[in-house]
Amino acid sequence: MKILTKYTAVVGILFAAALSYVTFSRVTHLRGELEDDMRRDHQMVGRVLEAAIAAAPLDAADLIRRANAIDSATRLDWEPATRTALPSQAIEGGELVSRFPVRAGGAVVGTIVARESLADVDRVVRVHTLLGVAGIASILLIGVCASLVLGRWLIGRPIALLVQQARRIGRREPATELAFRRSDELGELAIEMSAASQALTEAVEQTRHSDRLSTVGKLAAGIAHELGTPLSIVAGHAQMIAGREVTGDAALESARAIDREVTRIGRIVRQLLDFARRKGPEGTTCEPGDVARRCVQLLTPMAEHDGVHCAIREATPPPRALIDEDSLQQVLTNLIVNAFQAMPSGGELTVVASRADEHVRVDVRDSGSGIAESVRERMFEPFVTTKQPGEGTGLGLAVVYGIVADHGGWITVDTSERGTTFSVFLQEAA
Amino acid sequence: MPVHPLIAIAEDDVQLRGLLAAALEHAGYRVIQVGTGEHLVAVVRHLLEAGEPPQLIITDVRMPALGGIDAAQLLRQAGHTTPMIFMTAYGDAWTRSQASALGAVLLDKPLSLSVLRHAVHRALGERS
Repeated sequence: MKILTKYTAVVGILFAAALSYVTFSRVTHLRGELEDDMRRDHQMVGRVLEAAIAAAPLDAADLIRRANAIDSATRLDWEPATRTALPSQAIEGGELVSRFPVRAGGAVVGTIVARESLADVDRVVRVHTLLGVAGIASILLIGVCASLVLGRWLIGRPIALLVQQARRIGRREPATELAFRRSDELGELAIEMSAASQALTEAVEQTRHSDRLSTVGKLAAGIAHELGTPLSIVAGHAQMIAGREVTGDAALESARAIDREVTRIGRIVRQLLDFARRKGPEGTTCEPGDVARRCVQLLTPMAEHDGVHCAIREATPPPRALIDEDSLQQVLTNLIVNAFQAMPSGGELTVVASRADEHVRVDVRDSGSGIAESVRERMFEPFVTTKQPGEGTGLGLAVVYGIVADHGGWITVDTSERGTTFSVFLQEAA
Repeated sequence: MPVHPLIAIAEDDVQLRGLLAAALEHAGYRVIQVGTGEHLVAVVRHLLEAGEPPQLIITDVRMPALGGIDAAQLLRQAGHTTPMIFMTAYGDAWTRSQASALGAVLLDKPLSLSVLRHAVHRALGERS
């Protein structure tokens, strides 16, 4: 919690400065008071003695000696025949020294000197300074602890919850529930975050919906294109025969071309029916590892022919996905056959069944040369193929995409010149 | 203007391409056939450098990788004003607007040879 630490440090330093100033002022004031007290005491003693000595100048030394016997803190001296005319008070070598000249008969007869150590004052000031510093330290300690604990509760914890929610949104997981309820700014942020997530989820749903709509459009475009070409050929040859542009053997060849194209049209229509007939989710479940093993077993002759080595890896315990075996078999067969075709001179095929968050992930990885950038974006669209016209209909990946989407899953592709991985994400069976 | 106008045809289906070429050659045109949009752009550039640009380009809209419209845009950007005929089995609004923007004629598949011949004749006639 870096913000909290910074905030606490800044507030702590400001508090410490303010409290130090207050303590320093108090101690300075106290020292002044104590010194003033001492000065007043000296003045009082001085005046009394001054009056006594002025009345009997000859007894001055004796009076001072007796006075010294009474007060132990103030040391008194009698300096006869000094010329000092005015009383004075000064601090000399850690002592308060007060001088009171005594006049008798209009002339200065001597000076009473009172000396008192300032050590007691120093000690009191020191004790107060220490007490002040201890006070500041304990206030700061309590303040910092309270700020950190309260801050963690008021700021740290809610922010951690919001960060978690933001990460879930980033991973495209649903995060529409309110992270916490509070009436402050963070509470407002939590409400806005969950509203944003809600809007995002709805937008994704809409995109999926419009994707599906446009898939229908793309399918129609694909059908039109696939059938448009052979129909053009049929029409063209027929017109050339009818217009006697071709005769004899050439006309025979035109008739054969018409027959070939009609066969092609028939095949496209059959595959379209397969595409349309795919099953939706039925609530049945299966283990992708098992299905992958069965697919690879069925395709072993093809793998051996292409010189492809197949390996299947599976998490323990084996993940179970919410999809029926037949549908998953159709998905994996299509992906595995594509993988074989991506490795015409042999290679490695790896199928990995694992768990990813709350989903089952099935990777089909080949060691081929990757997918050309020009087809990457459109490769799940119907009738998009890298094969020569007539060799493949381009429905394989569209079927895979459709089945996986129908079961609430999705597919990602990672491709480079070292190979391609199709990752199928499916809902995990409870 | 040569006696027999030169036409470049781009169509990924080899059967249809052959048939169209045969029909146009039968009608007295010289034809160069290509199977992709990339080849079309390359061949037209090459012909231009050789000093014998085609008088007409006929291209399928939907081809693997570079489609007919993309290829046509590349040629137009390079300053080629050759008349163009697009062929498509799926002439939606977008395709029609693109064809119109590129000044091309759009023919629907399945294609009638007589319609094609008529369009070729008009495209070349308007030009000359």
